[in-house]
Amino acid sequence: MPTAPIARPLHSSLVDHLQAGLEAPICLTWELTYACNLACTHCLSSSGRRDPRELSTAECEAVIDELQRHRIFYVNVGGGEPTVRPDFWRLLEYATAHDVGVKFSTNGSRITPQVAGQLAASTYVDVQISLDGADAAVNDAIRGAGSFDVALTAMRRLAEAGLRGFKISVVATRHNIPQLDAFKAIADRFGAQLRITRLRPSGRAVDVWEELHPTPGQQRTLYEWLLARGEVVLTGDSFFHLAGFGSGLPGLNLCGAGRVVCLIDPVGDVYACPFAIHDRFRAGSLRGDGGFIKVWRESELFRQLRAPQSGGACVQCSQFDACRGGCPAAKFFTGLPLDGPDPECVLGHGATALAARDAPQRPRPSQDHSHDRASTTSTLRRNRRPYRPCDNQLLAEPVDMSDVGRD
Amino acid sequence: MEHVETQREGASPVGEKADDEPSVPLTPSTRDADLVESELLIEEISIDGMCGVY
Amino acid sequence: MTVAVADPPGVAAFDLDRAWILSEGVSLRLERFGAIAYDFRTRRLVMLKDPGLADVVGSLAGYGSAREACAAVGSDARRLGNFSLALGSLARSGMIRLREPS
Repeated sequence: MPTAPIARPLHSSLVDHLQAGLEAPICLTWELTYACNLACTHCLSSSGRRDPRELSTAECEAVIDELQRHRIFYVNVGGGEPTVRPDFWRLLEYATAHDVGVKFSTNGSRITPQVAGQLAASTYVDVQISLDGADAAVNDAIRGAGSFDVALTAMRRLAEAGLRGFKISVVATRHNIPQLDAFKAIADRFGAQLRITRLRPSGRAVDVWEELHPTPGQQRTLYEWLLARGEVVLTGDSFFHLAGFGSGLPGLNLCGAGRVVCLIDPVGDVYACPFAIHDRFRAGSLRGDGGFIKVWRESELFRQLRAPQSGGACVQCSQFDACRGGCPAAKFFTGLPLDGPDPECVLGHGATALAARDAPQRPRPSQDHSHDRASTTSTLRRNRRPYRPCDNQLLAEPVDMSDVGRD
Repeated sequence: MEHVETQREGASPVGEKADDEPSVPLTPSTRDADLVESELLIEEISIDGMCGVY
Repeated sequence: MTVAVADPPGVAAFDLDRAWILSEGVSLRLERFGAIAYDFRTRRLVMLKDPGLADVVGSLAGYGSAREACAAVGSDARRLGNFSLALGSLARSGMIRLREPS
């Protein structure tokens, strides 16, 4: 009897082509600013304070021109909080007018009803609202007091403006995995598409990863839940390390860093991916001669990433073809070797490797734009006070807070 | 993932046909086996299906 | 005198003898292995895993029929059949369209 259609197509040649590198990324993440009006405990870019060396409006438009020239189709604009840049809306319009599709990731604090209406009328802009709890208690413990209400208000405004299919993006943690169905209900309520992504120990998360990352049992629960909803729940291919459980989740199931994607940071530095903001994964600067595309095509780091990778100890594992050794950023920031298991290896090899590390010599993020950096000790970081709207000295104009929390 | 249209029943599949193969209705499994080469020319990827974009 | 040769089966599903064109809102980017095509309206992304197919799709607007575009890159019956199936897939997803209505 014929079995069910093959879940993974015979596309090994495609994977080979993509791993060998492309003329330009298919899509990339562009962090517009390190400024942020929140202080999420797990922020992958350690954002908070604006970097004075930020790309100017003119420089940003030149980057967009280059993206257009090289047919980079889709850009995830993030930060920090990209909408706190006064020129954000101008740059958004410039991008879509120059054949660059944009998804922007936001905490929702600048989504006024007027803005929601404009976004609903736009064809080439996708909106992604960040959310890390299905209720204020779980969400605000990570993202700060009031942030849940702000996010839900933004969602309501987008829905009321008729913008269907905006994304709600969740970072899966120990505390929100019990809320997966509740997240789906929120997405359904607003006509949005749910996106669940992996917590990586990057940026500020180096300090909270061990207490926040899913337990092995939760990881299995999450995998099964996502597998059952592969048609409707997105993952950004962030769970390819779970392919050892069985069939891979939808997506390429491979590390795209330096091969199909990369990061442009607020000062024009190019990194392999947004979860790897560290000198080790810095490919160069687009402020050099030759701009972005020269870094993409000629940097030594990207040449290395596109060469056949040694799987190291993982090569002998039965699941290596599926997981490819997992996420390099997760390995790097937990102090594990890049040619060994992922810290969350489904077979437990990562846990073994973590336990075997010499008194953890984990890399610190190369730069830190966080607010309240009175000290570099990890204890002080974790005791960071929750966000208060009056903290916000970065807002260029007041946010309409009159209907926040009405949901 | 793009799927190839189901062929007319009994039709010769595109590509080499082994002489000893009986004509069978093209179910998904036989279709995959016979049309692998053509199916490989187009492959759809989700714009959200590449790791490294948050 | 030419002999009419039956098209491979499945070709009939895509009309090779009509004039086709890349749809508005679709961008085609050539790569070493073929091309990547992205539809800005639907967010649909496809890989064309054959340089000849990429050339066919990119040149459709310059030919009176898809068959001529395929012939220009050189295709035997089998390759034509494979191209036709691929073009049919692109047509169904709206990434290419007829230049004139049926």
